[in-house]
Parts: sequence; structure tokens; C-alpha cells
Amino acid sequence: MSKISPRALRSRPWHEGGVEKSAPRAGSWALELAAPLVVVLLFAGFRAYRMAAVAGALSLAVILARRLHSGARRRIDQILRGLGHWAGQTVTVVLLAPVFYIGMTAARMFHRLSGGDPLQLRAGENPTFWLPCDTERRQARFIQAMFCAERLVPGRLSLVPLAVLAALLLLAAETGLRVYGLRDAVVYVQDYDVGYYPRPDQRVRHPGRIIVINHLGMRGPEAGPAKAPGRFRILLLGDSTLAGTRVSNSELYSALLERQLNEAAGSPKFEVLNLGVNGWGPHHELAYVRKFGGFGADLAVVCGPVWDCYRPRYGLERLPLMPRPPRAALEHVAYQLVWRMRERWLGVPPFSWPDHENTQADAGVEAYGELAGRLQREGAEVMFQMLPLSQVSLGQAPEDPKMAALFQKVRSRLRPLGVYANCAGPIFKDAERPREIYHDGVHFGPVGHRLYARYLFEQLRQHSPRVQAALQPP
Amino acid sequence: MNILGVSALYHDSAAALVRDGQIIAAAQEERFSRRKHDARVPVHAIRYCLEAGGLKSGERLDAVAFYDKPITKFTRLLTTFGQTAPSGFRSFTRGVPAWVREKGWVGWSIDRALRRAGVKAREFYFPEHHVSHAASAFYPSPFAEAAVLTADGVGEWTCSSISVGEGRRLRMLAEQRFPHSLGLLYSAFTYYTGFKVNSGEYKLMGLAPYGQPRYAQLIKDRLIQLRADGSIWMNMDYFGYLDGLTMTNERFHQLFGGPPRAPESELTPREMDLAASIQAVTEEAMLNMARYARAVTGKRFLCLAGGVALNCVANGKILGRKIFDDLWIQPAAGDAGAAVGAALYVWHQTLGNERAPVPGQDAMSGAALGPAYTRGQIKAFLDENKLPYEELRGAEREARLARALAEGKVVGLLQGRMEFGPRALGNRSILADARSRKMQSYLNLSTKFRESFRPFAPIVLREDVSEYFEVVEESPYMLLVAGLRRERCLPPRGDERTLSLTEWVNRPRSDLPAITHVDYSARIQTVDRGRNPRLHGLLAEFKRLTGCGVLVNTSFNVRSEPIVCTPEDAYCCFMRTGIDLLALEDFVLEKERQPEWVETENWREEFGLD
Repeated sequence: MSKISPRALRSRPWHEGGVEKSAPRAGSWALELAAPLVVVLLFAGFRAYRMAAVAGALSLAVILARRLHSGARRRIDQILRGLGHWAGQTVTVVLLAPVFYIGMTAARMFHRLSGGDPLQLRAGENPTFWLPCDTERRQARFIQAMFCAERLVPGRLSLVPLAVLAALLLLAAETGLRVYGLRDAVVYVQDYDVGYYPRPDQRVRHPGRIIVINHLGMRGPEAGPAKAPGRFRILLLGDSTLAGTRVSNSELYSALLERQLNEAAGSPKFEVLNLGVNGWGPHHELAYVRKFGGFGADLAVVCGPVWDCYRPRYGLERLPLMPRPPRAALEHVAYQLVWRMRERWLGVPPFSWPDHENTQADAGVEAYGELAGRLQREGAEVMFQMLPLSQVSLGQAPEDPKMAALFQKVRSRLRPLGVYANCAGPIFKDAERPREIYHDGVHFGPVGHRLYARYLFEQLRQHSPRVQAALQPP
Repeated sequence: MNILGVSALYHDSAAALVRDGQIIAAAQEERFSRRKHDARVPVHAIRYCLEAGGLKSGERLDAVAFYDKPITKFTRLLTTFGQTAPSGFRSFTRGVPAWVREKGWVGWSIDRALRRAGVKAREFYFPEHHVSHAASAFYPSPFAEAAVLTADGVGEWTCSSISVGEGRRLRMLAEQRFPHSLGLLYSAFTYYTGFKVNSGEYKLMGLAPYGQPRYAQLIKDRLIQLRADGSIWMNMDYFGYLDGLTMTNERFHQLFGGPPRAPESELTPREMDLAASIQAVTEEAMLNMARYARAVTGKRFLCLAGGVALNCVANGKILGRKIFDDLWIQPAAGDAGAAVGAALYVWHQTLGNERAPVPGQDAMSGAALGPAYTRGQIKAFLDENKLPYEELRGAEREARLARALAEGKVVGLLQGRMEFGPRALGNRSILADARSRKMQSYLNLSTKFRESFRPFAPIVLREDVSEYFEVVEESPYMLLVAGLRRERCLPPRGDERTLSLTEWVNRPRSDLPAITHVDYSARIQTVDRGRNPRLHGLLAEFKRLTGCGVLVNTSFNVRSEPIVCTPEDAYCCFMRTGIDLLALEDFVLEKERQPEWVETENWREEFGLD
């Protein structure tokens, strides 16, 4: 007698499109390989090559076992399903717990306080539990229930919830970014010669600090273009290390230096102008002084790291700086992202191709020389106070030979002009809270600003004849 | 104009195609996917409906009607959690993600299923859940005007409703809202007595006649407030479904003296009494609701739908009390039938098309709305697999099958279009001789592999119904329970309650022991020549041979398996069970002549337990 089994039974295509049986299927190779490949690439991306190799080998073993043995496939699928379920549950619980315990509990309290009983839990004594309903009232309820119109056209069906979801996500993102302080941004004026400089008269709020840009476009209190009679004006020029990041105006070393000088002089004689702008280098500073002059400064101090010499002389405007205040935090972020994507994917425009590194540095040194000469011609005493790498200033690393050589070039260029140039050494070596000096390895935090103001004060007192004279009692 | 009705994502998903107000096709997804109560978007049922309607790739569907309003349902979910927090977090973590992942996007899922079939829908409609139920009861009914009563677990907010149907208009007059639901009350007892919710309610109904309603008063005193108008209020202190994962809570268990019965454990008199009690309360509520519906609508006829309308014992009582002149129940009264209702609602109510009911004839085509298979398809299947068969036509086939039935054999029948709804009405059925004393036990244990207490339903010639049963004149969809005529019953001996369940079941109670339940009732299906001529012919031939116009009719499946759909499903079920003869349209297969069946699948585990 012949035999037959359900598996041997030749099935017919009973219906168009066929029917998916619930029996487990092997799936496609491509799909199975995709997930482990992502994991392997992720590990490799973090240079964890051993982990990548282990993950790859393990994945291959699992895939082969699934392919070659139906029992193993069932078991592995069961384990993977369990793991997936567990992971999903965990994520769900973490995400939904605040919604439930805060949102839903608040809703319950609100109903209790307002006497609402939407589930009629306290309506047991009613003479009837039938609720009257008519078409009109039901329609109203449908409208209250958001998308439940009587009719929905397919296109809108998927778009409306998606649009609402997107709006909610955008709202959440905007809120988060505003909390992070990205709603406001310092706005810059685009300039053909200088590249850019801060727009005058700005007041920008960031969490925990306020950035005030005065009428001259400098970070600090109001000051006139010309110094008042009897005052001693010091103009500090530099980049973001001078402009300050994540600190208030009053915490800047320029403000602290002014206070110390006035205390030493015993009267508000000194006025320190902070012409520090994010991303500036010698070419920006030179162009700015050429265009706007030296503000009648008695002393001009060029501050900033030695590597500012590498800042290019072309494409001075190439920074993602907003030309007008952002209307939303998302606009600010989008502007930055678009700018960076354009830079990365569309390439650098030909007119702003960078020079060779050495040519660039030489051009920077030359610009510093020209800047010093220009300021001298404006009647200012000039001084260069340069910063080494943070590890050097903290005493954690020896002096970098490349930076030292670069500084020597600056010094050599300035020597004929009689300009004092100094590059700070391990000045924070013995500081009590070294970790708080820099907040990002380059820019000072409040502690760094305070310590550097003290250092700069000493430098001026020792090496600036005009300051020494000004500090002499009358 | 083609309108596709869809119900999905809760239980028993289904699709139905209505063309110019006529139901062209309807089917439940479970029949194709072979997963009982399949709740997924019914992609296969949709494809079948498109195929049956001749809608080819590139054509446009005029409208899709989904059977409820998903967002309204979600607001109910959130409102509920807003009333139970901070308890109910586990329930929240299950409910909300499911909604966000799938239920909120059901329209999109249906649209995608249609696009995969190459069909585009012009518009989507979302009638309310109970409106869909009411429409499924009223529009296909033979009545021009009628009161419509719907009751189920819960829709968006509504749990039961009274509507009035007049011509093409359907207007809801009153509703009861979540969580005060007769359906959920019944489900709570289903859970407590160890059966599966949304699946085992009919078992509880079948168990009820074995018990005494000694808890009925306790239910009315402590669990619910039952008003004379049939409305109920549930004391949620005893139920767990608002903030938990179970239907009942500890207070409920204390009230009835213990924890819920473990599934598949032995049934004790306590479960039987609980079943009898909740059945009595449900019948009382349904009767009161029906009286109230009559009073507020003033109509002479009643249409019923919703899961509770599958309680054929209660339906029989409503009919028996003559509250209405006549009653029509949607054969797919559960959520599956709401797919038909949604489509008809859009056609008549939203688009304003008139209906023309034919008195005495409904529009459900005997519920034969599913796929049928041609002679060529079946022959090819049998020949390809080298399965021995005889091809018999007309009277010859009827005589062969009737002779086998008269000899006490069990016959599996696949003919015509598959039935829509939970009942097999003769097209996907297992038939047997109702006169046999051993048949109920044999079918339960050897053919259906299910609990021994479960009763079987009879089919009877429409013209002979009064010869065997009381009250009922017509019940083509097996939705009414009626008593056997007194003269056919054997008097009870009085010691039934001292017997074991199996002994009690096996004790003959009438001259039709296989279909007589312990309370001398039966869930009747009347067979008339108009709706099902082939089944009528077979039954008439059986009567000619034996003098008896009654047969056992049970669904062609085993426990937890969806009713068979294709000849292939039917053949597998035939070979796995105690069925002796299989008729696939005109092809008759005898078990003894088939190749030896080697089981390679763990099919019982695959189907699980219902």
C-alpha cells in the first residue's frame, strides 16, 4: 500500500497570490546577512576589530546553523524572538513609564477633582444605564476623536497621522534644543574684506549665561569708538579663546583684566576692549584693523593660540555663522547641518582652496607682522600673548616643537618692530583645579579665564612700558 | 459600485465585497491563514473578495469600509488608563504599543494590501463598530423596518445598542458604554471557568445545561445592576480588565470561592453551576433588552448582531417569548460579520442607496459567500496526488452518502461556497447519524478531539422541523436553540447529577441522542431546497432510507483548527480524524482505499488549544 503525508501532498495554487502558512521559513540570505553586517561594520567603525571578528564569526555560525538544521532554526528563532521581545519590552517600559505614571495619574487626579466619571464607575444607582444617542451627537464625538471623520481619502489616510506625528516630533525636538540653548545665536555681519564680524548691539540668552555684544560689535560693556580723555585703552584681538565660549561677559579674562588693572591703579582708568571673534585668525584681524582702525588704543594685545597662524587667508567667510537671528532652534540646527553638508558633499569652492600648510603659516606670520605695524602706526603699543596647546599649559606635555618653531617665526617677524611676543609655558602647572581650566581642551572655562587674567595682568605690568607708566601713582 | 468591507486587528478578521448593495463575497482570514481567530489584516480574504468580484490588477475599488473607528477606540483606551493609573501599567505597555505599531494605521495597512493586489481604493470609510454590527443585522434582513439590537464585548465605547432601521436608514437610539458590557461579563465567566476569552464563550453556553443557576442571584446582587430595560452596570471592583491582564480579580475569585479553573483541568459542578448562572443572567438581560427595544422602536421585527447574538439559547428564548413577530440574526454575528455591515452601511446610509428587502428571504445567500472549487481543480488535486476516488453525480452521489450515513459512518462534506461566519451549514461540514447512541462521544473524542460534554447540532428538513422540535419554524443559520418535541424525549431518571460527565453525556435522552443536549434542547439548522439544494437532497435521501430527516452537522475541522477551506485542507482533516467518507463536490473518497497516512506535522500542537 502506498503512503502519503501532509508534506508529500502536492499543493495546488488554490487562490491568487497564495497563502502564507504559519510554518517558520528560512528567509532570504540577504536579509539574514544584513543585520550581522551592520553590527560588524559598527564595531569596525569604532576600530574594535576583535569584537567585529567575534561578532562576524558568531553571526555566520548562527546563520549556517539556521540554514542547515530545521530544529536548530526553530530553536534559534525562538531565542531571537525571546530576545527581541525582551528588548522591545524593556524599551517600551522605559519609554512609557513616565507617560503612564505622570500623564495618566495626572489625568485621573484631574477627573477626580473635576468630578468627572467617564467610565460611569460611580453611576450604579442610575435608573437606567442606556444612554440616549442620536446621529448629530455622535458626529460631534467623532470630530472630537480627531481623525475619525466619516470618510477618509486614501492619500490623507496615511499623511494626516504622519503629519501629526512629525509635528509632535518637531515640537519635542524644538523644546529639547531650546532647553540646550540653541534658540538664540550670535549673529554676524558678512563682510567682503574681513569675512565676518559680530553684528553690533546683540543680547543673546543661553542657559546660564547672557552674551552681550556692544555698539562696536565687541563682547563687553559699551565703549565709544574713541577713548575718553584720561583713560588707558587696551585692545585685545583674537579668536574664540578670547571671545569666550560657555561663559558670561563678566567671566571673560578681558573683563577680569580690566578690573585688576583698575584695582592696581586705584581708579577706573583702564578700559579693555575685547575684539575676540570665533574662528578669527591673523588675516581677519588685519583686515578688521585696516577697515575700522585701532580704536585709539594705547596698547593692543594680540591674544590667541599659536596655531591661529594656520588660519587660511582665503575664504575668510567660511564658517556656519547665521546672518540673522534664528526663528527657531531647529532652524539654527538645520542651518548648521546644511552648511556642513554643503561643505562636505559639494566641496570647497575654488576661490577658497586652502594653501599648503607651510605657505599658510608663513602667510599668517606675515599678517601678524603687518597687523603689528598697522597698530603701531595707529599709535598703539603692541604686544603678542600667545597660547600653547592646553597640555603644555597644564604641564602635562613638553613643548610641541612644531608650535615652538612657529612661535619663533612670529617672534622673528615682530622683533624688528620692537614688539614683545610671549608664548605662555606651563602656566597652569600648579593650578588647584586643572580640570576646570579648559572646558573643551581649547577654550577656557570660568576658572581658566580667571587664572589667565591674572597671568596677563602680570605680563602687562612687567613687559608693557605704557601700562607700567599708567600704573604709577600720579 | 464595489465596496470592500474589512474587519481586523481584534479577533476574527474578515473581508466582504458588496457590489451595488449585493453581497458578492465574504470570508474570514482564518480560513486561509489556518490560524484560528486570526486577527491580522485579512490580506488573503481581501484577495479572495477581489478575485470573486472579478476585480483585476489595475482596477479601482470604489470604497473601503473599515468596521470601526480606530482613533476613537484609542481615546477609550487612554481614558480608561486615565481612570486607573497608577495601576494598570502592564496593561498600558501592552495596549499602547500595539496601537501605535499597528492598530492606528489600519487604513494604511488595508491600502497596502490592496495595492499589492494591484487595486487602488478611491475612499475609505470608518463606520462605528456597533453601527457596523447593526448594519450587518438590518440591511441583509428580510424586513423593511425593524428594531436592531447589538451586543458584544466592546466597540469604540459602545457595548450594546438599540437602533431602528427603516428602509435605507439606520438610526441608533440608545447605547450602553464601556466598561458596562454584557459581552465582557460573559467573557469574565468564560475566563473564570477555564476557557479562552473570545473563543470559549460557546463552550460555556454548552456547559450551562449541566448546572444549576445557583449563583445567578449572587451575580445580580454583587457583580452587576440589571435594570428592567436590560441595561446593566458592572461593579468594576470585581473585574480586572480595566487595569489588569485578566478579566477577573481577586475579589471576584473570593466571591465565588476560589481561583479560576486551570485550562484543560477537570470540569466540576461548580463550573457547571457558574455557566448555568451566567447564562441565566445573560438570557434575562437579553430578554429585557429585547422588550425595551420593542418599546422604544415600536417595530414588529427584531434584528440581532454582535458576539452576544451568537448565544443561540438566549436567541431561542427571545423568539419563544414572542416579544417580536419575527427575528433575524446575522449568521456571522461576531466581528467578522461587521465587515459586511460596514460595507452595506456605506452603500445604504452614507451613499443613500435604497434597499429592496424580499419578505421571507434574506440577502446572505445562505451564508455561502466564501470560495468554491471547480471540478477541474479538485480532480487535478486528486490525480496529482494519486488519491483513489469515485466520481458520482446528483442522485447517485446523494444515495451513496446517505447510505454511508445510515450505516453509521461519518461523512466529511466539501461542496459549494464556503460558509461565512462561525457555523458550518452543510458546505464544510461533518455529517453523522443523529440516531446513534455513541455518535456524540465518538465525534467529540475521535473526530473533533474536543471536550466530551460538547453538544452537536442537528440539521433538519425545513418541512419536517415541527415534527422534531418545538417553537422554531425556520433556523437556516443554526442560531436558535429549541427543545425537542416532548414525545421524542425519554424521561430523566433523576440521578444525572450523580453521574460523571461522560456517563451523563452518553445516557440517551431522546430518539435522536446524538443531538439532544442534557436539557433536551438542540441548536437547530433547518435545510430548505432554496438555500442549499444539495444538502436538502442528501437529507431527503437519508430520510427515505431511514425515515429520519435529521442528521448531526458539525463543522469540518478539529478542535482549534479553523473550518477547512480548500479540498487540500479537507483531505488532511479527513485523514487525521475518524471521518470515514469524504465528498469533495462530486468526488467521493473512502478512508479504507486511501494511501497510508504518515503524519509529519505536529498538527495538534500547531493548532494549539482554543
